[in-house]
Amino acid sequence: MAKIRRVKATKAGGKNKILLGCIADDIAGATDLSYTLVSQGMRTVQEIGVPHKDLAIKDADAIVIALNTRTAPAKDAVRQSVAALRWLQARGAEQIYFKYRPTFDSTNRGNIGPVADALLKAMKEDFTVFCPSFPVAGRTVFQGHLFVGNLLLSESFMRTHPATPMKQSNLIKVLSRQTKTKVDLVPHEIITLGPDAILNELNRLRADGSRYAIVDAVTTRNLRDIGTACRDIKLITGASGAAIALPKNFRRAGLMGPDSGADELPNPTGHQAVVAGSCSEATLAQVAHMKKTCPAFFVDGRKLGGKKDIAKEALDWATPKLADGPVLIYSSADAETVKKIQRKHGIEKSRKLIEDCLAKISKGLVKAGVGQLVVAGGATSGETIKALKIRSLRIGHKIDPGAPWTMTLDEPPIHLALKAGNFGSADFFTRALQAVK
Amino acid sequence: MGAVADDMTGATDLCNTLVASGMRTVQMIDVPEKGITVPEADAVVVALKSRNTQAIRAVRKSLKAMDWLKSAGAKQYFFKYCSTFDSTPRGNIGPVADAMLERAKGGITIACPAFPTNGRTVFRGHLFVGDVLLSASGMRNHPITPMTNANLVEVLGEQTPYAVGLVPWETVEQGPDAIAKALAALRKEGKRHAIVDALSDKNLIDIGRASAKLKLITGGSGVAMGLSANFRASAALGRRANAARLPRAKGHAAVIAGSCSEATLEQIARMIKAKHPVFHVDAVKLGGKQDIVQQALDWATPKLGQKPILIYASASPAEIKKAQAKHGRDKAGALVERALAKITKGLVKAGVGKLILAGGETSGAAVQALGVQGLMIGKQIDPGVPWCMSLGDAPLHLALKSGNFGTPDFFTKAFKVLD
Repeated sequence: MAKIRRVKATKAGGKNKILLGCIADDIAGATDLSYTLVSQGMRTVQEIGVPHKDLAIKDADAIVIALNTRTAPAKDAVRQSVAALRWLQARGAEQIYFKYRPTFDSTNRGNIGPVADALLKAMKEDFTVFCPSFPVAGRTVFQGHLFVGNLLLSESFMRTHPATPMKQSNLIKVLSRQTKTKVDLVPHEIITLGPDAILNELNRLRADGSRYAIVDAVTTRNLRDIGTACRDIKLITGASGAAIALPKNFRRAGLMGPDSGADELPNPTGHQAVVAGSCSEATLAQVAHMKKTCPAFFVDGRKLGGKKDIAKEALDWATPKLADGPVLIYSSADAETVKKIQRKHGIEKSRKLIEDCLAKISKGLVKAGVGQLVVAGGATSGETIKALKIRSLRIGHKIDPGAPWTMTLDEPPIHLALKAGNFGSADFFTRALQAVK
Repeated sequence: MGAVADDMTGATDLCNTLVASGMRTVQMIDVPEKGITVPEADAVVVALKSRNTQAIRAVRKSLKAMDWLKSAGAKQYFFKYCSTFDSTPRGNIGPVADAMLERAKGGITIACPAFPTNGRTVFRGHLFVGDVLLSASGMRNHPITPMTNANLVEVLGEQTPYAVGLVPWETVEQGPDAIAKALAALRKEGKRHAIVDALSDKNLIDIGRASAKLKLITGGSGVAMGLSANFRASAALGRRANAARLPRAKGHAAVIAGSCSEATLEQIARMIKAKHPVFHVDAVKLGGKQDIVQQALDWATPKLGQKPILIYASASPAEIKKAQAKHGRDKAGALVERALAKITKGLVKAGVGKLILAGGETSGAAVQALGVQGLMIGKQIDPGVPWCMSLGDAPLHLALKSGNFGTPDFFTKAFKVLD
């Protein structure tokens, strides 16, 4: 196992004390936030679920705990979030970030309001901001109203979201249904004046007894200014965008070293492999591209659930080839094939059969010596993490914006790149495997 | 530039903006009769009452105004409507804009009602009133033009057979060139209207600049801010040292007040305190045997030429109730307006040349009684209230003040501005 390249010890705090503790309401959101922090020079580790109380993490400025609480009963979401808070506080985190989706995904009763209520109470704090805006992805907040592209949230695809339908775009109203606390607004006119004006307004609201403020943001510049103004606010809530200025706050305060090297990972070991489950167009193109240059094995969904052990077949096929270079194992198929598979097994069962098989294959590959693994597809990534019992990931350098290499801090250490289905150019797999070195 | 406004206060509002940005501006009350000579001006605004009429009539009136403006030399046209886009599902903004665009042989026009100073902003094509969507604002329950949709692309789309596009704020923020490019691209896609986002005065000025080559611009008065720079750039308009300069005022000074708003009541109290001659027109006594109008004029005539005089019908809520109890609600108002209009006419005959009219209704009735067809717009006294001079052989300096406008010392201050 390669040695961790030490990043210079920071001026304040022991090397095990963290500056920022983050709680994300799902794993994709956690990765997104981790990546934002790393890109701004914070050494970041992502934990899946609340870690054991004795787990020691070295060389991290920020820890992001990925929960799965977005649609959980409010009580569970609150309990898990407060447990995560306590764990982060025990590592010295004085500032806490509660991460949710830029479309403010939540049910009528929560969980954004209840979790914010509980975190604020547990921290004995009296004020927080809500900043879901993410202009790069077209999510903007103006006069407290959330827009998705040119549409109001309530007119966007989120209107009919199966788990968290959003039928109201005025976030003051949305949040007011989830909390008894009065919700105020820091409008665009003030945000656009810059960090000092924002800070003055936040202080004024706070002095007036306000506890919750939705903050408008229509540009990344706005997000930076908001982040700068939130330097001394102990609990910040929002999507990943609002975290963009926080690393600079710590650096200005002398709490963090220069921003180079935050994304460095130890040298990779072991063989290379790609496992693809997504059937999105982007992934299909990536599979086609990679098949041209390396051995590939197709996991045919139609053959699953029968007598044949397809996972074993795949592993038997792959194992002798690993030493010669990367292999590709994929279940990705075009729409017609997918329909055939679904006709045979039913939609839900097809998905489960495929994900179980791919997770088994990933596990087998690691056992056979794979140490650098690219996984394509959100669901596939989730199942792989479960199967490999991964609890901790250090976030490394980016392959494409939003898709970094990571390294597991569990045993054995694996370099892992988790790619959302509809993401990346056609040569993503090959570029990723070259970039890891 | 020739502008058509769909109501009187909107026209005044637009005139103010144009004068403030350095254009000599004349306001015409309704489409002028043939033969009237309009003094040299950079912009002429025709005030119509076409917001709530049938679309077909609004179109006819607007085109008539446009033809007259063309004969007066207009090179670019402006269709002014309310910053809350007041209109019914069938119009009149869409139909009037379509007709004017066709008549002007224009390719595409912008629709930009934003007026950030007054909290009217447009983001992603959605109109906000302060921090609420138009559809959640008081306009939702407007008796004549209820606005239940804040998405102007859709609202205007329902009023026109043509495709409506959007120039989003990110583009507007990049400045005039980016906006002009976006408009050209929309035109290429076959769009005839473009809703243009605007969150700040700077956005409005840039939009105005980007619209230099458009034949027709539609919107609130805010977007007119950038237009004078265009005319100047194309040398059609010289640098105006003072676009608000009016010929010297002649005659005596008088104030006629009908409004019962708090601002006006306070302004009257100040005038009394400063020992100006004042006469109260008691609404309860109107419509009886006494000729109050004659009494007022007899009282006023010997006092003219010294300190400005004040004649007012403005009254406290209790007094108003008394008058309404006697005459009935509508009749009480009509009696007051008619009396004040007659007094105004009499005062002018007696040599008054500088006149302040306080109250929207009072102003309207008096201007009609005086037969004023057009106004040259001068210097502002307070925001939204400029001195004007009537067109014609016997010019009169007029200040038409909405009830709730102006500082407490407005009446005394106003005459000093004129000197």
